[in-house]
Amino acid sequence: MTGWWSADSWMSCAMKGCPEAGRSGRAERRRLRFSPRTTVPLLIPLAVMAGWWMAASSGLAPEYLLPSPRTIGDTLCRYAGFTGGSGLDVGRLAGDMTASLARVACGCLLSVPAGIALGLASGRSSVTALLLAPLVHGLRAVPGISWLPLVLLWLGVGFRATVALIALAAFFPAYLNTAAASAAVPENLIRAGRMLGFSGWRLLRHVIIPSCMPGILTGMRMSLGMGFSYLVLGELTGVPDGLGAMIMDARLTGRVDLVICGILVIAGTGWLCDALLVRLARLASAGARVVSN
Amino acid sequence: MTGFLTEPALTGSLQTGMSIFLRCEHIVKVYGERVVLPGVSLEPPQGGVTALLGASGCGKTTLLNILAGFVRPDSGEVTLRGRICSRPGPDRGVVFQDSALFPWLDARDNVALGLRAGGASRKRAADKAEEWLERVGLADCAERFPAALSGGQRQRVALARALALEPEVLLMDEPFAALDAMTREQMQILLASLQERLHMTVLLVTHDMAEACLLADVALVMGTGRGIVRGMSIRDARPRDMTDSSFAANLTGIRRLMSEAAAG
Repeated sequence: MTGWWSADSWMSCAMKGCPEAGRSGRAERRRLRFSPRTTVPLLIPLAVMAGWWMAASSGLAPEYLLPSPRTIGDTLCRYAGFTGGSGLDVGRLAGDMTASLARVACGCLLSVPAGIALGLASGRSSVTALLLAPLVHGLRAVPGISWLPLVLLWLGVGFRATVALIALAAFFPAYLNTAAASAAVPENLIRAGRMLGFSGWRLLRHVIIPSCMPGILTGMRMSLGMGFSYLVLGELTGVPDGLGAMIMDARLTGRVDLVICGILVIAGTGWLCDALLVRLARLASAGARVVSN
Repeated sequence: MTGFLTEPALTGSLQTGMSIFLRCEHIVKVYGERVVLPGVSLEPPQGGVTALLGASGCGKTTLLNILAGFVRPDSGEVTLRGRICSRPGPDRGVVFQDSALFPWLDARDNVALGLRAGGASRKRAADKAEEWLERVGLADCAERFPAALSGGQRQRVALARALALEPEVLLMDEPFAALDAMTREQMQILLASLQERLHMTVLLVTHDMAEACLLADVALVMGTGRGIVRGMSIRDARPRDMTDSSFAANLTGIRRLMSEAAAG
Protein backbone atom coordinates (compact mmCIF):
# COMPACT_ATOMS: atom_id res chain seq x y z
CA MET A 1 0.00 0.00 0.00
CA THR A 2 1.34 3.38 -0.89
CA GLY A 3 0.56 6.42 1.23
CA TRP A 4 0.99 7.21 4.85
CA TRP A 5 -1.49 4.90 6.38
CA SER A 6 -3.14 1.61 6.20
CA ALA A 7 -6.21 0.63 8.18
CA ASP A 8 -3.90 -1.05 10.68
CA SER A 9 -1.88 2.05 11.31
CA TRP A 10 -5.07 4.04 11.14
CA MET A 11 -6.62 1.99 13.90
CA SER A 12 -3.49 1.77 16.00
CA CYS A 13 -3.00 5.49 15.64
CA ALA A 14 -6.57 6.09 16.72
CA MET A 15 -6.30 3.71 19.62
CA LYS A 16 -2.77 4.66 20.63
CA GLY A 17 -2.03 3.90 24.23
CA CYS A 18 -5.24 2.07 24.75
CA PRO A 19 -4.64 -1.38 26.22
CA GLU A 20 -7.56 -2.79 24.25
CA ALA A 21 -6.09 -1.61 20.96
CA GLY A 22 -6.63 -3.97 18.08
CA ARG A 23 -8.86 -6.37 19.93
CA SER A 24 -11.80 -7.64 18.05
CA GLY A 25 -14.17 -10.50 18.46
CA ARG A 26 -15.27 -12.25 21.57
CA ALA A 27 -12.98 -15.24 21.07
CA GLU A 28 -9.92 -13.06 20.89
CA ARG A 29 -10.96 -11.15 23.96
CA ARG A 30 -11.24 -14.36 25.94
CA ARG A 31 -7.80 -15.47 24.82
CA LEU A 32 -6.31 -12.12 25.82
CA ARG A 33 -7.25 -12.43 29.48
CA PHE A 34 -3.86 -13.85 30.52
CA SER A 35 -1.83 -12.53 27.65
CA PRO A 36 1.09 -10.06 27.84
CA ARG A 37 -1.36 -7.38 26.76
CA THR A 38 -3.10 -7.52 30.11
CA THR A 39 -0.16 -8.37 32.36
CA VAL A 40 2.63 -6.17 30.97
CA PRO A 41 0.91 -2.84 31.75
CA LEU A 42 0.77 -3.91 35.42
CA LEU A 43 4.52 -4.47 35.76
CA ILE A 44 5.68 -0.90 36.28
CA PRO A 45 2.92 0.09 38.74
CA LEU A 46 3.66 -3.08 40.73
CA ALA A 47 7.38 -2.31 40.75
CA VAL A 48 6.69 1.27 41.90
CA MET A 49 4.40 -0.07 44.64
CA ALA A 50 7.10 -2.50 45.76
CA GLY A 51 9.76 0.21 45.84
CA TRP A 52 7.42 2.53 47.71
CA TRP A 53 6.56 -0.11 50.25
CA MET A 54 10.23 -0.96 50.81
CA ALA A 55 11.21 2.72 51.15
CA ALA A 56 8.45 3.26 53.71
CA SER A 57 9.03 0.08 55.76
CA SER A 58 12.83 0.51 55.86
CA GLY A 59 12.48 4.03 57.19
CA LEU A 60 14.22 5.51 54.15
CA ALA A 61 11.25 7.80 53.54
CA PRO A 62 9.79 9.31 56.71
CA GLU A 63 6.02 9.03 57.12
CA TYR A 64 5.50 12.81 57.05
CA LEU A 65 7.08 13.08 53.58
CA LEU A 66 5.94 9.86 51.98
CA PRO A 67 3.29 7.92 53.87
CA SER A 68 3.39 4.15 53.46
CA PRO A 69 1.07 2.42 50.97
CA ARG A 70 -0.88 1.10 53.94
CA THR A 71 -1.58 4.61 55.24
CA ILE A 72 -2.63 5.72 51.77
CA GLY A 73 -4.89 2.70 51.49
CA ASP A 74 -6.55 3.51 54.80
CA THR A 75 -6.94 7.17 53.88
CA LEU A 76 -8.42 6.23 50.53
CA CYS A 77 -10.96 3.95 52.21
CA ARG A 78 -11.94 6.69 54.62
CA TYR A 79 -12.14 9.24 51.82
CA ALA A 80 -14.36 6.93 49.84
CA GLY A 81 -16.51 6.35 52.90
CA PHE A 82 -15.85 2.61 53.14
CA THR A 83 -14.56 2.99 56.69
CA GLY A 84 -15.89 5.51 59.15
CA GLY A 85 -13.91 7.89 61.27
CA SER A 86 -13.74 11.50 62.06
CA GLY A 87 -12.34 14.29 59.94
CA LEU A 88 -13.38 16.54 57.14
CA ASP A 89 -12.29 14.13 54.43
CA VAL A 90 -14.42 11.14 55.43
CA GLY A 91 -16.83 10.07 52.68
CA ARG A 92 -16.15 13.03 50.45
CA LEU A 93 -15.05 11.06 47.37
CA ALA A 94 -18.42 10.73 45.61
CA GLY A 95 -19.28 14.39 46.02
CA ASP A 96 -15.85 15.61 44.97
CA MET A 97 -15.72 13.31 41.98
CA THR A 98 -19.19 14.27 40.77
CA ALA A 99 -18.39 17.96 41.05
CA SER A 100 -15.07 17.59 39.26
CA LEU A 101 -16.39 15.38 36.49
CA ALA A 102 -19.26 17.78 35.89
CA ARG A 103 -16.76 20.64 35.52
CA VAL A 104 -14.51 18.71 33.14
CA ALA A 105 -17.51 17.55 31.11
CA CYS A 106 -18.98 21.04 30.83
CA GLY A 107 -15.63 22.60 29.94
CA CYS A 108 -14.85 20.00 27.28
CA LEU A 109 -18.37 20.07 25.83
CA LEU A 110 -18.13 23.84 25.55
CA SER A 111 -14.92 23.95 23.62
CA VAL A 112 -14.02 20.59 22.06
CA PRO A 113 -16.81 20.64 19.43
CA ALA A 114 -15.82 24.19 18.54
CA GLY A 115 -12.17 23.14 18.37
CA ILE A 116 -13.01 20.25 16.04
CA ALA A 117 -15.23 22.40 13.82
CA LEU A 118 -12.69 25.21 13.54
CA GLY A 119 -9.89 22.67 13.07
CA LEU A 120 -11.75 21.10 10.14
CA ALA A 121 -12.38 24.52 8.66
CA SER A 122 -8.79 25.68 8.94
CA GLY A 123 -7.38 22.37 7.73
CA ARG A 124 -9.47 22.52 4.59
CA SER A 125 -9.31 26.24 3.90
CA SER A 126 -6.04 28.14 3.94
CA VAL A 127 -7.88 31.44 4.36
CA THR A 128 -9.47 30.23 7.60
CA ALA A 129 -6.11 28.88 8.76
CA LEU A 130 -4.42 32.22 8.12
CA LEU A 131 -7.28 34.06 9.77
CA LEU A 132 -7.09 31.98 12.94
CA ALA A 133 -3.32 31.54 13.09
CA PRO A 134 -2.32 34.67 15.09
CA LEU A 135 -5.19 34.23 17.54
CA VAL A 136 -4.69 30.52 18.12
CA HIS A 137 -0.92 30.45 18.27
CA GLY A 138 -0.76 33.58 20.38
CA LEU A 139 -3.31 32.37 22.89
CA ARG A 140 -1.78 28.92 22.98
CA ALA A 141 1.52 30.38 24.18
CA VAL A 142 -0.17 31.90 27.24
CA PRO A 143 0.11 29.58 30.26
CA GLY A 144 -3.23 28.69 31.78
CA ILE A 145 -2.40 30.20 35.13
CA SER A 146 -2.15 33.65 33.53
CA TRP A 147 -5.84 33.50 32.77
CA LEU A 148 -6.71 32.85 36.38
CA PRO A 149 -6.89 36.51 37.56
CA LEU A 150 -9.01 37.53 34.58
CA VAL A 151 -11.31 34.56 34.80
CA LEU A 152 -11.79 35.08 38.54
CA LEU A 153 -12.46 38.77 37.95
CA TRP A 154 -14.98 38.18 35.21
CA LEU A 155 -16.70 35.03 36.43
CA GLY A 156 -15.98 34.93 40.14
CA VAL A 157 -14.77 31.98 42.19
CA GLY A 158 -16.66 28.78 41.54
CA PHE A 159 -18.17 26.56 38.91
CA ARG A 160 -18.13 29.05 36.05
CA ALA A 161 -14.48 30.07 36.49
CA THR A 162 -13.32 26.44 36.61
CA VAL A 163 -15.39 25.51 33.57
CA ALA A 164 -14.06 28.52 31.67
CA LEU A 165 -10.45 27.58 32.42
CA ILE A 166 -11.06 23.98 31.34
CA ALA A 167 -12.84 25.11 28.19
CA LEU A 168 -9.98 27.43 27.30
CA ALA A 169 -7.37 24.75 27.79
CA ALA A 170 -9.30 21.95 26.12
CA PHE A 171 -9.87 23.95 22.95
CA PHE A 172 -6.30 23.92 21.65
CA PRO A 173 -5.49 20.21 21.45
CA ALA A 174 -8.80 19.52 19.71
CA TYR A 175 -8.26 22.38 17.29
CA LEU A 176 -4.62 21.71 16.47
CA ASN A 177 -4.94 17.94 16.02
CA THR A 178 -8.06 18.25 13.90
CA ALA A 179 -6.51 20.98 11.77
CA ALA A 180 -3.38 18.90 11.16
CA ALA A 181 -5.40 15.79 10.34
CA SER A 182 -7.79 17.55 7.98
CA ALA A 183 -4.97 19.29 6.16
CA ALA A 184 -3.36 15.90 5.62
CA VAL A 185 -6.33 14.09 4.05
CA PRO A 186 -4.85 12.51 0.90
CA GLU A 187 -5.90 14.46 -2.17
CA ASN A 188 -6.91 11.30 -3.99
CA LEU A 189 -9.39 10.34 -1.25
CA ILE A 190 -11.10 13.70 -1.72
CA ARG A 191 -11.05 13.19 -5.48
CA ALA A 192 -12.49 9.71 -5.06
CA GLY A 193 -15.25 11.15 -2.88
CA ARG A 194 -16.07 13.82 -5.44
CA MET A 195 -16.02 11.22 -8.20
CA LEU A 196 -18.63 9.23 -6.24
CA GLY A 197 -20.81 12.32 -6.27
CA PHE A 198 -20.11 13.89 -2.89
CA SER A 199 -19.56 17.59 -2.43
CA GLY A 200 -19.91 20.16 0.32
CA TRP A 201 -21.32 18.88 3.58
CA ARG A 202 -21.66 15.29 2.32
CA LEU A 203 -18.01 15.20 1.29
CA LEU A 204 -17.09 16.42 4.76
CA ARG A 205 -19.27 13.83 6.45
CA HIS A 206 -18.40 10.82 4.29
CA VAL A 207 -14.77 11.44 3.38
CA ILE A 208 -13.01 14.20 5.29
CA ILE A 209 -14.25 13.54 8.83
CA PRO A 210 -13.74 9.75 8.71
CA SER A 211 -10.28 10.32 7.28
CA CYS A 212 -9.50 12.73 10.14
CA MET A 213 -10.91 10.48 12.85
CA PRO A 214 -7.52 9.35 14.23
CA GLY A 215 -6.43 12.98 14.58
CA ILE A 216 -9.77 14.08 16.00
CA LEU A 217 -9.69 11.29 18.57
CA THR A 218 -6.12 12.13 19.56
CA GLY A 219 -7.17 15.76 19.95
CA MET A 220 -10.18 14.79 22.07
CA ARG A 221 -8.02 12.64 24.32
CA MET A 222 -5.46 15.38 24.75
CA SER A 223 -8.23 17.89 25.42
CA LEU A 224 -9.64 15.63 28.10
CA GLY A 225 -6.18 15.40 29.67
CA MET A 226 -5.83 19.18 29.59
CA GLY A 227 -9.28 19.40 31.12
CA PHE A 228 -8.14 17.39 34.12
CA SER A 229 -4.99 19.46 34.60
CA TYR A 230 -6.89 22.73 34.47
CA LEU A 231 -9.57 21.27 36.72
CA VAL A 232 -7.13 21.22 39.61
CA LEU A 233 -5.96 24.73 38.79
CA GLY A 234 -9.54 25.99 38.72
CA GLU A 235 -10.44 24.23 41.95
CA LEU A 236 -7.38 25.50 43.81
CA THR A 237 -8.98 28.93 43.87
CA GLY A 238 -11.32 28.14 46.71
CA VAL A 239 -14.35 26.21 45.57
CA PRO A 240 -15.90 24.11 48.33
CA ASP A 241 -15.88 20.74 46.55
CA GLY A 242 -14.01 18.83 43.87
CA LEU A 243 -10.85 16.77 43.75
CA GLY A 244 -8.61 19.83 43.33
CA ALA A 245 -10.30 21.57 46.26
CA MET A 246 -9.77 18.48 48.35
CA ILE A 247 -6.04 18.46 47.53
CA MET A 248 -5.84 22.14 48.45
CA ASP A 249 -7.63 21.51 51.78
CA ALA A 250 -5.27 18.61 52.47
CA ARG A 251 -2.24 20.75 51.75
CA LEU A 252 -3.43 23.47 54.13
CA THR A 253 -3.99 20.94 56.90
CA GLY A 254 -0.67 19.17 56.22
CA ARG A 255 -2.28 15.89 55.18
CA VAL A 256 0.33 14.45 52.78
CA ASP A 257 -1.55 11.14 52.69
CA LEU A 258 -4.70 12.88 51.50
CA VAL A 259 -2.78 14.83 48.85
CA ILE A 260 -1.43 11.57 47.47
CA CYS A 261 -4.93 10.07 47.59
CA GLY A 262 -6.21 12.99 45.58
CA ILE A 263 -3.48 12.54 42.99
CA LEU A 264 -4.22 8.83 42.71
CA VAL A 265 -7.94 9.44 42.32
CA ILE A 266 -7.37 12.04 39.59
CA ALA A 267 -4.95 9.72 37.81
CA GLY A 268 -7.45 6.85 37.95
CA THR A 269 -10.38 9.01 36.90
CA GLY A 270 -8.45 10.56 34.03
CA TRP A 271 -7.34 7.15 32.83
CA LEU A 272 -10.87 5.74 33.04
CA CYS A 273 -12.33 8.70 31.17
CA ASP A 274 -9.71 8.31 28.46
CA ALA A 275 -10.46 4.60 28.10
CA LEU A 276 -14.17 5.39 27.99
CA LEU A 277 -13.62 7.98 25.27
CA VAL A 278 -11.66 5.51 23.16
CA ARG A 279 -14.35 2.88 23.68
CA LEU A 280 -17.07 5.34 22.67
CA ALA A 281 -15.14 6.43 19.59
CA ARG A 282 -14.74 2.83 18.54
CA LEU A 283 -18.44 2.14 19.02
CA ALA A 284 -19.26 5.24 17.00
CA SER A 285 -17.00 4.22 14.14
CA ALA A 286 -18.39 0.68 14.19
CA GLY A 287 -21.88 2.14 14.03
CA ALA A 288 -21.05 4.36 11.07
CA ARG A 289 -21.15 1.62 8.49
CA VAL A 290 -22.38 2.30 5.00
CA VAL A 291 -24.40 -0.87 4.70
CA SER A 292 -25.39 -3.22 7.48
CA ASN A 293 -24.23 -6.81 7.48
CA MET B 1 -0.44 18.00 -32.89
CA THR B 2 -2.44 17.98 -36.07
CA GLY B 3 -0.21 15.30 -37.53
CA PHE B 4 -1.93 12.29 -36.04
CA LEU B 5 -5.42 13.48 -36.92
CA THR B 6 -4.71 12.82 -40.56
CA GLU B 7 -3.11 9.50 -39.72
CA PRO B 8 -5.21 7.03 -41.76
CA ALA B 9 -5.18 4.44 -38.99
CA LEU B 10 -6.83 6.74 -36.48
CA THR B 11 -9.35 8.44 -38.72
CA GLY B 12 -10.20 5.01 -40.05
CA SER B 13 -11.03 3.70 -36.61
CA LEU B 14 -13.06 6.74 -35.72
CA GLN B 15 -15.12 6.41 -38.85
CA THR B 16 -15.97 2.74 -38.53
CA GLY B 17 -19.22 3.11 -36.68
CA MET B 18 -17.94 4.24 -33.28
CA SER B 19 -19.76 7.44 -32.39
CA ILE B 20 -18.04 10.15 -30.46
CA PHE B 21 -19.56 11.35 -27.25
CA LEU B 22 -16.75 12.39 -24.91
CA ARG B 23 -14.93 15.33 -26.31
CA CYS B 24 -12.37 17.74 -24.99
CA GLU B 25 -11.64 20.82 -26.98
CA HIS B 26 -8.55 23.03 -26.97
CA ILE B 27 -7.60 22.22 -23.40
CA VAL B 28 -4.85 24.51 -22.17
CA LYS B 29 -3.15 24.02 -18.83
CA VAL B 30 -0.18 26.01 -17.65
CA TYR B 31 1.56 25.51 -14.32
CA GLY B 32 3.61 28.62 -13.59
CA GLU B 33 5.85 29.05 -16.60
CA ARG B 34 5.44 25.50 -17.81
CA VAL B 35 2.91 24.75 -20.51
CA VAL B 36 1.64 21.26 -19.78
CA LEU B 37 -1.23 21.12 -22.26
CA PRO B 38 -0.96 23.56 -25.17
CA GLY B 39 -4.49 23.20 -26.50
CA VAL B 40 -5.35 19.53 -26.63
CA SER B 41 -8.41 18.20 -28.38
CA LEU B 42 -9.45 14.61 -27.92
CA GLU B 43 -12.43 12.50 -28.84
CA PRO B 44 -12.09 9.00 -27.44
CA PRO B 45 -14.27 6.53 -29.35
CA GLN B 46 -17.40 5.43 -27.52
CA GLY B 47 -17.30 1.85 -26.39
CA GLY B 48 -13.57 1.58 -27.00
CA VAL B 49 -10.38 1.75 -25.03
CA THR B 50 -8.16 4.74 -25.69
CA ALA B 51 -4.64 4.45 -24.32
CA LEU B 52 -2.82 7.67 -23.56
CA LEU B 53 0.92 7.10 -23.64
CA GLY B 54 3.90 9.31 -23.09
CA ALA B 55 6.97 9.94 -21.03
CA SER B 56 6.67 10.93 -17.36
CA GLY B 57 5.62 14.54 -17.00
CA CYS B 58 4.19 14.83 -20.49
CA GLY B 59 0.79 15.86 -19.14
CA LYS B 60 -1.20 12.66 -19.59
CA THR B 61 -2.30 12.54 -15.96
CA THR B 62 -3.15 16.25 -16.05
CA LEU B 63 -5.32 15.62 -19.09
CA LEU B 64 -7.08 12.75 -17.31
CA ASN B 65 -7.59 14.91 -14.21
CA ILE B 66 -9.16 17.59 -16.38
CA LEU B 67 -11.46 15.03 -18.00
CA ALA B 68 -12.41 13.77 -14.54
CA GLY B 69 -13.09 17.33 -13.39
CA PHE B 70 -10.45 17.29 -10.65
CA VAL B 71 -8.36 20.00 -12.31
CA ARG B 72 -9.76 23.04 -14.06
CA PRO B 73 -8.21 23.81 -17.44
CA ASP B 74 -7.01 27.35 -18.07
CA SER B 75 -9.11 27.30 -21.19
CA GLY B 76 -11.05 24.80 -23.24
CA GLU B 77 -13.82 22.51 -22.11
CA VAL B 78 -14.81 18.91 -21.66
CA THR B 79 -18.20 17.79 -22.86
CA LEU B 80 -19.99 14.50 -22.44
CA ARG B 81 -22.91 14.05 -24.84
CA GLY B 82 -22.81 17.80 -25.31
CA ARG B 83 -23.03 18.54 -21.58
CA ILE B 84 -20.12 20.56 -20.17
CA CYS B 85 -18.31 18.67 -17.41
CA SER B 86 -16.50 21.07 -15.13
CA ARG B 87 -16.84 19.08 -11.92
CA PRO B 88 -16.27 15.46 -11.02
CA GLY B 89 -19.26 13.19 -10.96
CA PRO B 90 -20.35 9.56 -11.12
CA ASP B 91 -20.78 9.77 -14.91
CA ARG B 92 -16.98 9.58 -15.14
CA GLY B 93 -15.62 6.77 -12.98
CA VAL B 94 -11.98 7.03 -12.02
CA VAL B 95 -9.48 4.36 -10.99
CA PHE B 96 -6.44 5.90 -9.32
CA GLN B 97 -2.92 4.53 -9.38
CA ASP B 98 -2.86 4.27 -5.58
CA SER B 99 -6.42 2.86 -5.52
CA ALA B 100 -7.55 5.65 -3.12
CA LEU B 101 -9.86 3.29 -1.25
CA PHE B 102 -11.33 4.61 1.98
CA PRO B 103 -9.28 2.88 4.68
CA TRP B 104 -12.08 3.05 7.25
CA LEU B 105 -14.49 1.06 5.08
CA ASP B 106 -14.34 -2.59 4.09
CA ALA B 107 -14.35 -3.62 0.45
CA ARG B 108 -18.14 -3.84 0.24
CA ASP B 109 -18.67 -0.45 1.86
CA ASN B 110 -16.05 1.10 -0.40
CA VAL B 111 -18.07 -0.02 -3.39
CA ALA B 112 -21.43 0.68 -1.76
CA LEU B 113 -20.61 4.24 -0.71
CA GLY B 114 -20.93 5.60 -4.22
CA LEU B 115 -24.21 3.76 -4.70
CA ARG B 116 -25.52 5.20 -1.43
CA ALA B 117 -24.36 8.63 -2.62
CA GLY B 118 -26.45 8.08 -5.73
CA GLY B 119 -29.51 7.39 -3.59
CA ALA B 120 -29.63 3.59 -3.52
CA SER B 121 -31.11 1.96 -0.43
CA ARG B 122 -28.79 0.17 1.99
CA LYS B 123 -29.96 -3.21 0.85
CA ARG B 124 -29.69 -2.45 -2.82
CA ALA B 125 -26.27 -0.80 -2.40
CA ALA B 126 -24.98 -3.84 -0.51
CA ASP B 127 -26.35 -6.25 -3.10
CA LYS B 128 -24.94 -4.33 -6.02
CA ALA B 129 -21.61 -3.88 -4.30
CA GLU B 130 -21.36 -7.62 -3.76
CA GLU B 131 -22.35 -8.25 -7.35
CA TRP B 132 -19.54 -5.99 -8.57
CA LEU B 133 -17.01 -7.47 -6.20
CA GLU B 134 -17.93 -10.86 -7.60
CA ARG B 135 -17.43 -9.60 -11.15
CA VAL B 136 -13.90 -8.48 -10.33
CA GLY B 137 -13.21 -11.80 -8.61
CA LEU B 138 -13.36 -10.65 -5.00
CA ALA B 139 -16.54 -12.30 -3.76
CA ASP B 140 -14.70 -13.62 -0.70
CA CYS B 141 -13.13 -10.33 0.33
CA ALA B 142 -16.23 -8.19 0.86
CA GLU B 143 -15.59 -7.73 4.55
CA ARG B 144 -11.88 -7.09 4.32
CA PHE B 145 -10.49 -3.63 4.91
CA PRO B 146 -8.12 -2.15 2.31
CA ALA B 147 -5.09 -2.73 4.56
CA ALA B 148 -5.84 -6.45 4.52
CA LEU B 149 -5.99 -6.60 0.72
CA SER B 150 -3.06 -7.04 -1.65
CA GLY B 151 -2.19 -4.35 -4.17
CA GLY B 152 -4.00 -6.18 -6.95
CA GLN B 153 -7.05 -6.80 -4.80
CA ARG B 154 -7.21 -3.14 -3.88
CA GLN B 155 -7.17 -2.17 -7.55
CA ARG B 156 -9.96 -4.69 -8.16
CA VAL B 157 -12.03 -3.03 -5.44
CA ALA B 158 -11.22 0.38 -6.91
CA LEU B 159 -12.33 -0.90 -10.32
CA ALA B 160 -15.54 -2.30 -8.82
CA ARG B 161 -16.17 0.99 -7.03
CA ALA B 162 -15.85 2.93 -10.29
CA LEU B 163 -17.85 0.46 -12.38
CA ALA B 164 -20.65 0.20 -9.81
CA LEU B 165 -21.44 3.84 -10.55
CA GLU B 166 -22.26 2.68 -14.09
CA PRO B 167 -20.27 5.58 -15.47
CA GLU B 168 -20.43 6.63 -19.09
CA VAL B 169 -16.65 6.82 -19.18
CA LEU B 170 -14.03 4.98 -17.18
CA LEU B 171 -10.87 6.98 -16.58
CA MET B 172 -7.85 5.00 -15.41
CA ASP B 173 -4.66 6.68 -14.29
CA GLU B 174 -1.82 4.15 -14.57
CA PRO B 175 -4.02 1.72 -12.65
CA PHE B 176 -1.63 -1.21 -12.78
CA ALA B 177 1.70 0.62 -12.63
CA ALA B 178 2.27 -0.08 -8.95
CA LEU B 179 1.59 -3.81 -9.26
CA ASP B 180 4.04 -6.65 -9.78
CA ALA B 181 4.26 -8.17 -13.26
CA MET B 182 2.10 -11.23 -12.56
CA THR B 183 -0.64 -9.25 -10.85
CA ARG B 184 -0.51 -6.62 -13.57
CA GLU B 185 -1.10 -9.25 -16.21
CA GLN B 186 -4.07 -10.67 -14.27
CA MET B 187 -5.54 -7.20 -13.97
CA GLN B 188 -5.08 -6.58 -17.69
CA ILE B 189 -6.86 -9.84 -18.47
CA LEU B 190 -9.66 -8.88 -16.06
CA LEU B 191 -10.05 -5.47 -17.66
CA ALA B 192 -10.03 -6.97 -21.17
CA SER B 193 -12.72 -9.50 -20.26
CA LEU B 194 -14.87 -6.86 -18.56
CA GLN B 195 -14.44 -4.66 -21.59
CA GLU B 196 -15.57 -7.47 -23.87
CA ARG B 197 -18.80 -7.84 -21.90
CA LEU B 198 -19.54 -4.24 -21.04
CA HIS B 199 -18.15 -2.29 -24.00
CA MET B 200 -17.10 0.53 -21.74
CA THR B 201 -15.60 3.76 -22.97
CA VAL B 202 -12.22 3.72 -21.31
CA LEU B 203 -9.41 6.24 -21.24
CA LEU B 204 -6.32 4.49 -19.97
CA VAL B 205 -3.29 6.53 -19.02
CA THR B 206 -0.24 4.29 -19.09
CA HIS B 207 3.44 4.29 -19.82
CA ASP B 208 3.41 0.57 -20.55
CA MET B 209 3.43 0.05 -24.34
CA ALA B 210 2.55 -3.64 -24.07
CA GLU B 211 -0.46 -2.74 -21.93
CA ALA B 212 -1.65 -0.37 -24.62
CA CYS B 213 -1.23 -3.07 -27.28
CA LEU B 214 -3.13 -5.56 -25.18
CA LEU B 215 -6.07 -3.35 -24.23
CA ALA B 216 -6.43 -0.36 -26.51
CA ASP B 217 -8.43 0.30 -29.65
CA VAL B 218 -6.67 3.59 -30.10
CA ALA B 219 -3.22 4.49 -28.81
CA LEU B 220 -2.38 8.18 -28.53
CA VAL B 221 1.09 9.42 -27.69
CA MET B 222 1.73 12.72 -25.94
CA GLY B 223 4.88 14.81 -26.19
CA THR B 224 6.04 16.87 -23.24
CA GLY B 225 4.37 20.27 -23.44
CA ARG B 226 3.08 19.50 -26.92
CA GLY B 227 -0.14 17.64 -26.28
CA ILE B 228 -1.13 14.62 -28.35
CA VAL B 229 1.36 14.28 -31.16
CA ARG B 230 0.93 10.76 -32.55
CA GLY B 231 -1.74 8.15 -32.70
CA MET B 232 -2.64 4.77 -34.14
CA SER B 233 -5.54 2.42 -34.00
CA ILE B 234 -5.22 -1.21 -33.00
CA ARG B 235 -7.89 -3.31 -34.60
CA ASP B 236 -6.85 -6.79 -33.56
CA ALA B 237 -9.63 -9.04 -32.32
CA ARG B 238 -9.87 -9.79 -28.62
CA PRO B 239 -8.71 -11.60 -26.59
CA ARG B 240 -5.29 -10.53 -27.66
CA ASP B 241 -2.23 -12.56 -26.94
CA MET B 242 1.26 -11.27 -26.41
CA THR B 243 2.61 -14.11 -28.53
CA ASP B 244 0.65 -13.12 -31.64
CA SER B 245 2.69 -11.74 -34.50
CA SER B 246 0.30 -8.82 -34.90
CA PHE B 247 0.87 -7.96 -31.24
CA ALA B 248 4.58 -7.63 -31.93
CA ALA B 249 3.83 -5.46 -34.97
CA ASN B 250 1.58 -3.17 -32.91
CA LEU B 251 4.18 -2.94 -30.19
CA THR B 252 6.77 -1.94 -32.76
CA GLY B 253 4.34 0.64 -34.10
CA ILE B 254 3.76 2.19 -30.69
CA ARG B 255 7.46 2.13 -29.96
CA ARG B 256 8.07 4.02 -33.18
CA LEU B 257 5.43 6.61 -32.27
CA MET B 258 6.93 7.02 -28.81
CA SER B 259 10.38 7.67 -30.15
CA GLU B 260 8.99 10.05 -32.78
CA ALA B 261 7.12 11.88 -30.03
CA ALA B 262 10.26 12.07 -27.94
CA ALA B 263 12.24 13.37 -30.90
CA GLY B 264 9.66 16.11 -31.45
